[in-house]
Amino acid sequence: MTDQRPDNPLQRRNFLKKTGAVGATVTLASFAGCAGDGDGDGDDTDTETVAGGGGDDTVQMEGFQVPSENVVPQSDLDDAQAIPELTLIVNPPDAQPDDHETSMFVSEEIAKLGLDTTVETMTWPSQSSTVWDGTDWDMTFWQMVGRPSRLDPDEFSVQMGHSSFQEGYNYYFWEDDEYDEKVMAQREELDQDTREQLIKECQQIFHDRGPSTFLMYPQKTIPWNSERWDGVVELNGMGAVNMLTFSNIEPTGDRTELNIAYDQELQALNPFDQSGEIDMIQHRMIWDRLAWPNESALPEPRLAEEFNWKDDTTLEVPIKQGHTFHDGEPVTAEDVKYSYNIHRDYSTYFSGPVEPVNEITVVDDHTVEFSFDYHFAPFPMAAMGRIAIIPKHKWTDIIENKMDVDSPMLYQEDEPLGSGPMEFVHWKSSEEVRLERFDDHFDPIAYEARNSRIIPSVQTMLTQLENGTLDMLANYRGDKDVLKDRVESNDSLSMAATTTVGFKQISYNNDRPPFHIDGFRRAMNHRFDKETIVNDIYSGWGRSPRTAWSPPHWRAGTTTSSSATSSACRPRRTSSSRPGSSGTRATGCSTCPPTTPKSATNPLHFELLWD
Amino acid sequence: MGLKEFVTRRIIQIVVLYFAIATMLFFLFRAAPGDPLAAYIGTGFTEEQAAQIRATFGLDQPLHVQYWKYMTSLVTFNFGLSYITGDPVWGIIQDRIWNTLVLMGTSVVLAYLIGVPFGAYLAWNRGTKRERFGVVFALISRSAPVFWTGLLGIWIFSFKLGWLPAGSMSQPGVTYSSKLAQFTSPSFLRHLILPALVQAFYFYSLPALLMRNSMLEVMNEDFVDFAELKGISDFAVMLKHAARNALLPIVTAFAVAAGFAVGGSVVLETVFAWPGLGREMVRAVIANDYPVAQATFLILAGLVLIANFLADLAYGYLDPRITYD
Repeated sequence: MTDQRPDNPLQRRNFLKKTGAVGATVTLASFAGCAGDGDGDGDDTDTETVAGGGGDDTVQMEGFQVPSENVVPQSDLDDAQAIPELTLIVNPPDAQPDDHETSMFVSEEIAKLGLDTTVETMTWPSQSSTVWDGTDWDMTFWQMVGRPSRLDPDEFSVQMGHSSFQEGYNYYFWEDDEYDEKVMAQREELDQDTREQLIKECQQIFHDRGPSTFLMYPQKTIPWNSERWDGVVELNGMGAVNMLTFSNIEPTGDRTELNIAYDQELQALNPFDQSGEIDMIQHRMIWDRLAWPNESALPEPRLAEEFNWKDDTTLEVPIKQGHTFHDGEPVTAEDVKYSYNIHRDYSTYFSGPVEPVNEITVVDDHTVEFSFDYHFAPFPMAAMGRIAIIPKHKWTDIIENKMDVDSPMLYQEDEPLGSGPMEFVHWKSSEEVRLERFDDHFDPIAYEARNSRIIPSVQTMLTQLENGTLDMLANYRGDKDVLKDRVESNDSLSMAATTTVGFKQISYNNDRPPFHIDGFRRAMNHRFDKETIVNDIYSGWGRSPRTAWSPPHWRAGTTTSSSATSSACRPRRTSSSRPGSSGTRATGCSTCPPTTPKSATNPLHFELLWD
Repeated sequence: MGLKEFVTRRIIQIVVLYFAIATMLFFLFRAAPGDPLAAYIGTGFTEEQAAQIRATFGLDQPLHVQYWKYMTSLVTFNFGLSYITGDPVWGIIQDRIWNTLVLMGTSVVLAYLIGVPFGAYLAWNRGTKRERFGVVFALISRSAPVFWTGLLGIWIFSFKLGWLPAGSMSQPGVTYSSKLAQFTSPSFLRHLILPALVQAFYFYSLPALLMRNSMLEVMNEDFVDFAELKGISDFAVMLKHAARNALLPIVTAFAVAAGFAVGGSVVLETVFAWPGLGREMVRAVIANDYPVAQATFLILAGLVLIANFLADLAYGYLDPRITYD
């Protein structure tokens, strides 16, 4: 899509003060449009350089060379053409100090362009509401976290780019017809290589148009007690806290309960909702899915025996026989159909991924068949890896008599019932969630119980890990250098630092001047030194981006645990000793040498697009 | 003015003040940017569903209607529904009130048990190095922020020495049949020691310094000299004659301290992962869960007001020379 408002020679008067270009000024649209081709190396502008500013042919600004044809006399501008003061929304410093500092840095960089910018702090709910539900905002700092479903590029690329998601993750009101076409085409593409090519083309368009600026791909740092526990799996793009870890982990001694710390309260234990980062693992322990990702982030059958594409639009899924829910009732194809139909019939967190499903048919007691309107390539990860299989015999009554069907995501079972490897025991608000082993599961776990403890203080959770009360910190948000030092000084502990598919970005309101101008957004993109942000603000615990959507994305194969620029403590990898396990395990080490990124060895790596 | 009149007047003042605080909270929270139901209404909701949920919480009504409902509900202690969970607010916070009261009650009692004799000791040793050192130590403990002493305590007693648990209220995975069973269990008491001591370390200096000053005044009284002249031992004079008569301001200050202790639970509960009212208040404010935040603020404010009221009453009761005029 081209710019709908081409006649916006927006400008601030104080450009002149910055540039020293007396008697001339620059139209932002044109100025930004010359900022480069996207690689940020600054070598590809088609301008002449006149250092010192104020020459006849170009104007030199901080970091930019502006062609003289883009310079217009100041007298040609009026007040209506002035850019108003811009506001950048971010959470308060106590929530994520580094994010706030990054926003301050970004604000200062924008100021160097001669634009007045204010950083406005809001709590997450306020920020979310302002950005999601409103249009009255300019820029926002935003973070997307890595989730299993996001291991397939479909979720990010469609939901954050397609114009139909402007009330969703495309909250920055970006539209591009070509992008829309390609990103939907990848969904229907049968050939994996072609699909990948389409995704890369989408990345290219996204990068060229720059609806938001990717600042970094953060590393997730997970410390755990490796003296007591073996078998932590570092899932590519997700980190060590994932379903494979909690399925594979086993005690080395006589410890039978796994104690994990989270710094926030669980949001819900509702099979139709999974909005909280903390909720995800609990969900997958209580409720089985037809699929879940392997260590390469590819979907693998879980409750399903296999995925059998009978033709382009028909998927037959036999499920494991003899499996039961925690109350002893058998898990049947009827339960699977029922579970999926709820998302088709009511509005839930997962209604989107089942939209292409035309019909679900029970073939026999243990086989279900999905018919699609078109071939939906991401279905195994986007739907089968996410949708919980719930017991029809329990939920029929709930839906008919207890639940508000207009808001299924708000219903909370007193005792959530699933068929997963762990049974729900209790949820003590602000204290802990306790799950116990379901002995009859087809993939039984090696420990008896899992206690998810809510510990809001970073120092307290770290001390509890060190003194043995806790076994793992699932979302440590403190200083990662401190964590690394403490782990290295304790022989019992190990740490995995993994670049995730999540990212941090500055999003622009593309529907609002001056961000409706492609070139202006690109100029902003090049203004921010991502290396400085990653290395100086985040102390190297992340990776600077060269592409939209995260580096360890999709079909990345087995990689090292990290591509960090810092010398994080790295786990050694050993092959799994557990029968039937497909996971790659990370085991502890106390003297870890710095590692180098291995991503370049992967021919399917997204990042190669820019290499 | 008699006692009845005084009590009536103070109760009216408290009620007016309480509703003024409630009004201020109502408008303050609504002045915050964003939709308070943003966390509740997820991306999967349609416009109709979102509107229905707003109606459920009464947020579709004009502000003055919301205010009127809010104030009339307060009379019956109906704090509404949480914007995050949809559960009644009272159900969410009643559990936490007990957790906070037990922790803060223990720490205030500990602080007085330590502070009062310590203050008496300082006064009795007036002018000595021990007194000077004691006063400085008391001032330091009063100046040290609780989050710092809390972390220091965790580092020393949990990490280095391994004597006490580093936060939380119980061992992982443990459940209790009732609150009473929980509060009397050895595991709970063990978890209580460190946070209670840390808070007591902060609180003790108030009764200590008050006691010292009060004792110094009492020690100049004739009856103290007379007791000494009778040949009573120094310790007995200090304990039975001077300290007993110096206790009046300490007792009245106890009520005020107890009220402020509950209000000051926020930091302590966060550091020690104690699921109390203060921590819930922080969570509610961050999550824009206005009904819960308002309720926690109001309860804490109510406790402080009541404590002050009791202190006023106690003062007049304990010292007959005080009148209620």
